[in-house]
Amino acid sequence: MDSIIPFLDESEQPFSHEDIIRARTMIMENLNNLLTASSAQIKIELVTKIQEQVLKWAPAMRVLEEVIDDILAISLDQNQDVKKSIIGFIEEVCKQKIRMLPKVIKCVAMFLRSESAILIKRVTQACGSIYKNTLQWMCSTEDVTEEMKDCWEQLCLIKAQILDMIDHENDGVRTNAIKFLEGVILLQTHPDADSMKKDNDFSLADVPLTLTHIRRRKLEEEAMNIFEILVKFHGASHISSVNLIACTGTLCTIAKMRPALMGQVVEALKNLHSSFPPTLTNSQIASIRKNLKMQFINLLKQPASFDWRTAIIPILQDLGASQNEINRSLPKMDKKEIQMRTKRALENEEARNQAKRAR
Amino acid sequence: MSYISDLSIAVICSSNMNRSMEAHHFLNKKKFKVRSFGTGDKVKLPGTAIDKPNIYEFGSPYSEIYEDLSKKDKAYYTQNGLLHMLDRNRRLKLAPERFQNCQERFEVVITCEERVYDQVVEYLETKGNVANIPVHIINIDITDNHDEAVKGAFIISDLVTQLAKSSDLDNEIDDIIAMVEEHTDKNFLHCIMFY
Repeated sequence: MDSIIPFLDESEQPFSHEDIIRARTMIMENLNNLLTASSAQIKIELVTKIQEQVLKWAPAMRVLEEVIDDILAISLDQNQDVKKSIIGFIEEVCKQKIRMLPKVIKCVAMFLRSESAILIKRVTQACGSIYKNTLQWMCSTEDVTEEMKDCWEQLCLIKAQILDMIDHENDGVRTNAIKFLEGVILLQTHPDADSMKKDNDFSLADVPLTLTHIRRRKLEEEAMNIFEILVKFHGASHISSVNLIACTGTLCTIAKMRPALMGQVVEALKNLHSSFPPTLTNSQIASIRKNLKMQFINLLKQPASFDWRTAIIPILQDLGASQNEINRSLPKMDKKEIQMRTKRALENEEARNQAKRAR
Repeated sequence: MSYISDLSIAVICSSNMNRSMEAHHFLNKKKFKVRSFGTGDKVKLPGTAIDKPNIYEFGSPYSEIYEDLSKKDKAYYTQNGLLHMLDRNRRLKLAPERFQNCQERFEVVITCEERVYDQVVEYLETKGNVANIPVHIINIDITDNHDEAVKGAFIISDLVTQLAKSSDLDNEIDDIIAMVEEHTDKNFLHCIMFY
């Protein structure tokens, strides 16, 4: 490419007819080579090359819309690495231009139905960003077309399939499902003033109330249901060491970003500390105790953990944290804030007790 | 360079001088896709007295460190093996690298000391994940001297060989680690983090 212009959406940056012709010539040349290539390595290189062109050069992205079906035909290739390169391609295209989703979603669903755990894992990873980008797209567009609604429905089916994968026979598939579900919970719940912030955060608060096909209440209900499933999975006696650590990390991220759920997360971690799954080896328990200590220290650093300090600190001491280490982890608060949080903690405690009595 | 496996591995110690470089050298010879790093703030090497360590920035070429120590006391640093170690290192790569400055993603990260494992885990935890891509962090305690670094490199090589043989690492890693622990009579720390 002689001159590469920075990628901008075509609505913002018009480009010349010559640019389109140049882009078409380049992509067609690579596409023809891709369709006739015999080695998997060459196919992967060509997919990567096309990917770079379309992501770096707006006219190439325009041309991609014409030829994407031909590129996606490669997803039927026998080679697993070629299929993985196509998943990476889809993921990147959706990051750059989610409007292409209707063209690629069937392919995503197909990969998820694959018998190969490696492909399922890779597509589940990609679904994390695809799901977030789609929700943002739906929420930022005034004119939601039937095609977009259809895409959303298909993506909801994909989400349901990944939720089922928490019981998949393959440990790695379960790990990736946990991580995907973490993202869904964060997207479909409300943050509050104590929430830890991340770049490019998107949450239920950003979902407009005017949308007819996406309802805040339904999304939140679904997120809470998924959260309950994750807590249950975390407490399962047959859980593997890797998944226990992954799930603990996920629950702690949720607690930090959605402090309203911190109580349930602290409770889940407390239960784990008091009774480790019987299937774990001593070495695995040592790793989990170490991980638990780090996670509790990180929770303690959050102002929102104020209500749970009395539960967290004794566990940290049992896990080998020194008093100095604990003190260093406590966020600095002035007298007024401590009083306010103490009062709120007492009110919350009272409300919980009342709820228990009512039950 | 062609590798015998696609598994991407990082071996990490404190200064990227002795333990991680011994393992890097060993795995490199066996044609594994490996890089090595340190996690400390500075590269520290023993000096002529316990309170006079030699301190360098990460990125200082091994050759320059070699020349510096040669100038300071060639006989002493030859006798304690530091010059030999630096000579080995400079044949492998240009300079010690800090893990926290590396943008590359690995499938397996092996640390040589519990404090280094903590630093790696803390770094990845603080950095947060954007792509949901898992990375396995495994710690093997290795004392920081030449003989132990050699023994440690054998254990790391044994572990990496088993990990590379697996067609589905995420599904089999618990069993592989348990098996290598039994062979070597050592306990490893292991956790999963995400990029």
